[in-house]
Amino acid sequence: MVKNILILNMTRMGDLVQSTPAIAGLRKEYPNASITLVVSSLFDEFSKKIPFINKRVVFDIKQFENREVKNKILWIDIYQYLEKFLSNLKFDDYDLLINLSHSKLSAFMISYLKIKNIRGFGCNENGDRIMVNPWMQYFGIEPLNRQFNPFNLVEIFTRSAGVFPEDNPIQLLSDDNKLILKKFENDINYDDDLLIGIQAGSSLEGRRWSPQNFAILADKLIEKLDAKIILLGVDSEKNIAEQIILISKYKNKIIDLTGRTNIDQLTALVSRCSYLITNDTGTMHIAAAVGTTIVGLFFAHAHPFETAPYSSGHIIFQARISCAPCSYGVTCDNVICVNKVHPKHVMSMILSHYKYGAWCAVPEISNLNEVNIYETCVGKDWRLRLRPLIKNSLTLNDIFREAYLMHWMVFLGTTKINKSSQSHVKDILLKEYDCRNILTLSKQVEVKACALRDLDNLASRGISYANDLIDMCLNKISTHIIRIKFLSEEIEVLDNKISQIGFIHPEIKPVVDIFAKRKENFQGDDPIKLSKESLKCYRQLKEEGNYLENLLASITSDLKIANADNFHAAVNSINVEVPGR
Amino acid sequence: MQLFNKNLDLLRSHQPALANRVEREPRQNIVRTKISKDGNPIPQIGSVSLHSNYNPTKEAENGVSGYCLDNTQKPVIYGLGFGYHVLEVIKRYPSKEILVIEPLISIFQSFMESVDLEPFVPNIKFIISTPPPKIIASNETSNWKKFQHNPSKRISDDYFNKLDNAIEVSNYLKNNKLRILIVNPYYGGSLPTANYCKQALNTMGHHAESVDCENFADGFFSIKKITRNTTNENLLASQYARFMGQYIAAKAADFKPDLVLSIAQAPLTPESISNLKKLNVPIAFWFVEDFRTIKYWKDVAPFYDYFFTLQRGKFTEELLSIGAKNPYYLPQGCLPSVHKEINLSLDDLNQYSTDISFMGAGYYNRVQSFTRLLNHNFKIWGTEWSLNSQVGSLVQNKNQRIDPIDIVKIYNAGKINLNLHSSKFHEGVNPVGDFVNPRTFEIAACGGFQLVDERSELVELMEPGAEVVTFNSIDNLCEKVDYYLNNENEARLIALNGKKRVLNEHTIQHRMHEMLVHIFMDNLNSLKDRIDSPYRDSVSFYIDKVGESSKLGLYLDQFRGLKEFSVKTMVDCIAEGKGDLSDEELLVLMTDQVVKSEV
Repeated sequence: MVKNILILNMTRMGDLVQSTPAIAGLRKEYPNASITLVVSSLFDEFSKKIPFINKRVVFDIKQFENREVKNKILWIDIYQYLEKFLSNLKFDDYDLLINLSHSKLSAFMISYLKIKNIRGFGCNENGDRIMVNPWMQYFGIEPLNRQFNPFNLVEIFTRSAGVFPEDNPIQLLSDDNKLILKKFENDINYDDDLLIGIQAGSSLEGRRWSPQNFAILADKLIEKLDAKIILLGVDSEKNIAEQIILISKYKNKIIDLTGRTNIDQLTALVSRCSYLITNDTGTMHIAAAVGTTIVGLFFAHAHPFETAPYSSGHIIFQARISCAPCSYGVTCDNVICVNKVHPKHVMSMILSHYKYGAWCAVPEISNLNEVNIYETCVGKDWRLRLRPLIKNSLTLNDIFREAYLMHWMVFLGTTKINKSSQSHVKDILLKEYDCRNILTLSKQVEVKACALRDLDNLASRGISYANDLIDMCLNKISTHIIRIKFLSEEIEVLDNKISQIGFIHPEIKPVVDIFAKRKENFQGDDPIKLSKESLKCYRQLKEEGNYLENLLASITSDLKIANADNFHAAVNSINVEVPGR
Repeated sequence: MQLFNKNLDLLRSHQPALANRVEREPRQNIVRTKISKDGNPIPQIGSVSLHSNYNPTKEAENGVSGYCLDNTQKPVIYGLGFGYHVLEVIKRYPSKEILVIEPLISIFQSFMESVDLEPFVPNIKFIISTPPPKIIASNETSNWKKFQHNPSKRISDDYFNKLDNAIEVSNYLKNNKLRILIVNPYYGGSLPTANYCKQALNTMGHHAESVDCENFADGFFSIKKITRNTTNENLLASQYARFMGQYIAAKAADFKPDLVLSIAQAPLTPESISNLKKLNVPIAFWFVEDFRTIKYWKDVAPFYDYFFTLQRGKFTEELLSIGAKNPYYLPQGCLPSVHKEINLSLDDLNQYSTDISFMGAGYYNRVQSFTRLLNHNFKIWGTEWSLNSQVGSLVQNKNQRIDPIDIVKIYNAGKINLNLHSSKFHEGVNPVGDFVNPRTFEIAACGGFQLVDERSELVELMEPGAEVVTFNSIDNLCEKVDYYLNNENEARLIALNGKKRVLNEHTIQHRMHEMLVHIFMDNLNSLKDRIDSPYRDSVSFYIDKVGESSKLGLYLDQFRGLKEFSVKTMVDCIAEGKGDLSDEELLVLMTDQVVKSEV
């Protein structure tokens, strides 16, 4: 029986908000347990808004920033702080630990605390990172396969904590906002003003829409909707706000609150806004939690499928160019994605939503072929998903992403979601994409299916080798030593070939990568146990490869049929003009 | 005079180098010989008689009565006088070798004139007028049992105090690790010496690091190529030298040495040397060149705290005249880990075997004289030879650089290693050649037989005829070549003797030990302050801070004495470990993560 739960979440503000479904789920699962949350000192104040927490523990390593190192004793100070901090945690005797921080530091902390029952990112006794939970393993491969990832990070983390996000929305504790908002009464008429918040800054400079675009949009909102614009952000983003105001024609209608709000005030202001127009930021996630409609602008590395606001009713703009989103760790010296989204398009969408109360594809955006516009909504499977508002041509990536949604829900072990019929995928694709090129795509899919069959053959060989190894290890005959060595070498060659298929066919790489990730997590050095784990890995690879192949075949077949129906309908004799009639 | 000559002959068979010195050294007439009441000669310096005016033998008997030794101890007598006390010690301990240390050669000369040497040999080894650091470097002092001849102490109080001080310093150096920064030259024959010094010091337990100025040699040489304008060239050279001075200073500031040792042709200007003095540590220079050929020493010598040389006499006088401090004679040596006997493969034998070998540069005297050996199986290796000449056709490596390992093979493989010291203007042997090149010791350490031209300093270092064979002219060389090619066994025996001598007394370790003792005889207290400083050994400092018995203190103990220590050291150690991570190791890994991300 779990009585005392420790949650490590020493990440950023947005991640804290995104962890609230997991925390809510834990509370439901263990209604009588005490839940302690470890947070970074930077977000100590904000963490008070996280619901279902009994106790907060602040992890303050920021105190060591800018310390002089002339005495070279700084590392000892850090060491002793960590020792004391963790000893205090040990004293509290937790019986379940949830690690929602995916850092090496948190992994080592877990190993030090020696709490037996852990969920999330861990570390074994030898200091090697381990990801036992399937969803954590998936998280480990996701950065390398972003274009095929259908899951929001909230969903991945929540499921890795053993909780179902469908039942647990993101949420924050609310305060007496009226009291908090009194401070700004002179600038804002809360009753009459249509308040629109703009978060123009972000942690990464490359992810930002330009101040000019924000200024143009602000002017349009003021002109068309008589909106009051509040500029939100931290003190370091003040210069962005100043640029916006400088460019704008309606300076008196824009209030610069950058660096002037604490976290309570920010939350209260965001909740009071009708819309929040924002880059991919922590403020965006606060808005999602308090129910404010979001217009999200995702550029550079930001990927809506990963970090879109995790509630329904928001829209996301993203450049639809081959290099978007770019990989983490690259620095672009020719940023073009931010210029693909124009203020007039954003304005059109907001105007339409303001008028009709729902997002829909306005004529102004229908021909945009270098922009994605997504709406966050809850699908038939009760999961939050992104619905494209522009019906772009279906691509191979789109097919695989939808296929992987079903694939991973089956294989990463969630019993909450029913196995949707494969026709559901067809329906989604037909509804959201222009599928007229399915014939061309199906040929491409067939090439990938071929690769999956190759993978199947390799997996079968792996199963055979693993079985042989198990037999030999169990029998312990000394003459088998040479054979065991040979098989080990063959397995290494085999795994390289499997890996190669992933490189040649990026669409299949997620399956290959998770196979490799599972193997990385083997523990111990008992040869029989390791051989059995290997066997299990190859069987999973075979099963997953077969499932994906069948799923793809079914999807493309369904789409071809559906497309053919549409075609036939289009060329029905009734519609053919008969000469002379 | 008869007694002196008889004694000299006897001494020559026992300590030939000393005999040579005694014979050559001019008399100073500071010692008067008197006759005691019982008819024995006694020396007197000024008003001080070094023995009893009445009965010196009785005095000696009484004086030595309290002097006791155990089996492990070696008798060492401070002060010779006329040796009455020495004879008493011999009587009491007839099987022991006894060291007699006497600072004044005049005393010894008078002794040789007045006292029969026969009762003293072979028990006594005389150490006469030898600098204390040299004595300490050449002798194991841990088992010394001192007998102080008090009258000698009165006469030479300063010397014997220095000797005791040198012993104290030597013991301290053996038990403590010094940080020594070696400044290498850009290029040339002294570069290997710099590298050997570093290796030797590290082998001795110290922490030596180099400033690898040779990495900047290309830049240095390119200055000469870039302009023909001498003014511009000089300007560039001076700026380059200033940069190198800053480069060296940066290393020194980081490394915090206890001693900076610069080797000949290291790029240190007077300004740079003065800058290094801000470290408040001794700055020393080992000038391993011929002072008559390489003249830059005049510009830099006065700025160094210690100046070590291969030559003395005239050079010492000149150094003192320009204000150089502490000139000290320190010959070259060999590095046993490099210069040793090795087994040669068939391929090596094919390549390096020869009757006569020479390894070195094509200096004038060698080019002129080696033609005399063309009728022999003669191979040459080295650089700067004119390959088109008769002698040049013998050059095996076509003037290309040779690896040290190949040099060792050359020394091992040849029947006779030719060692003619270089000269730019002599036709063969330099008749007044003084210093001894490192090749002399290196060949000997490799067990190679060598013929080396006579050098005035060689006699003290190796015994001609017994440990090394010398020649005084090219004709003489040719005779000896013929002789030893036909008497290989004799050559082999001489080579063995030479190897033994060199390994016992003439390694770079010996030289470094002598150098360090000499330097720190004056600087021991400040060295102790630095070594005992809590910031010295960072690990000790950390342990002290967290407590020796704390978990972290106990964990850190394994890193004591490491040359470099940081969080990364611990992380690397953990990565190489096996088994479960301990709590301390986990905390170190976490600390590393925090340090990398936060600070």
